[in-house]
Amino acid sequence: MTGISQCINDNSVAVASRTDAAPALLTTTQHATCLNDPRYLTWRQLSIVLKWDGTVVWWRTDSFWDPSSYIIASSWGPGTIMSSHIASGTDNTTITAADESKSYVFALADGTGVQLSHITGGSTVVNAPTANTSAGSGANTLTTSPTSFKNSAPFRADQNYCSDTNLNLTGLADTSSLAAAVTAYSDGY
Amino acid sequence: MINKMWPFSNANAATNARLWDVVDTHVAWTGMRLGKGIFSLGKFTAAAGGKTSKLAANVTNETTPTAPIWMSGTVSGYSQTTASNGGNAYTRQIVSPPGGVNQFKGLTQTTDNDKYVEVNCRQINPYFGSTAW
Repeated sequence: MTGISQCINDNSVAVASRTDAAPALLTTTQHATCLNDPRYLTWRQLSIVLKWDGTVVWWRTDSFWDPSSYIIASSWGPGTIMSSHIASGTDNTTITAADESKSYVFALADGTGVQLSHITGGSTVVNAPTANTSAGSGANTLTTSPTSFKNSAPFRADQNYCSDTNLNLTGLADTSSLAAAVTAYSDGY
Repeated sequence: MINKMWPFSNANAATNARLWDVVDTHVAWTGMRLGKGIFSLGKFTAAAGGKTSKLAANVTNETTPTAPIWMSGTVSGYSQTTASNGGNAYTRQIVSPPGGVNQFKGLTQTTDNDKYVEVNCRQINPYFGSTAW
């Protein structure tokens, strides 16, 4: 899961690029770019499916942007889990018997949840969606970051709820008629 | 930083076998190194029978250390073997993809972006081909 970057405070914190032999500090320009990068302002999740030997099967990104948020990554929450809890009857009645427990869900920081559906079944591995897979394209108008971020009262309580969860999030049946408010979360639609 | 470990067997269980009778053969890790995601795999080298007896004796005197395994999977997409970030034939570096929907449209993943876009592999969500309960 991406979105928590290294430009939170200043440009004295460094990470390596994929080609760097050693970490390097952000320049002033890179720091400014980072502050206005949507990936810095909210979470962006990369789900990548590997076979046990490392073979990449498929991947997708899911994301959400709350333009009214004044807390960095306010939708940060627990990682994705596979919806297969024994208490969830929903998980065990969708799609077909051979394709159960193949929905992935996760909680947002405000206590709501998101499911990654459109994951069709298969007898040996979760397959990539075969429809509704258009990725985002075209120009992006970068959002100017707020001048300051807060993670303390009174702003903390209403946008920074969960760092972990035991919510009973349940995946639902695959459907191609999801509302735009849902499909906007993901490149997988 | 290791976030998650998951031991598993790469062989299918026998029909109607009990889950606790399935002996793990490998263990997978996910985590982060230098701001990028890491997925790695190791193989248990001890014989299955030996591990069963040690479990019964409540000891963990594994004499042969867990060995890294060379993954046979093809590196593609955002799974890399970049050596400078710890990737190699048995460790995958996971990097961030460009693009996205809505406000993420058109985002690039350049060297500069790599310096601040972090990837943290937080979970392993294994899929088991199983019979419904």
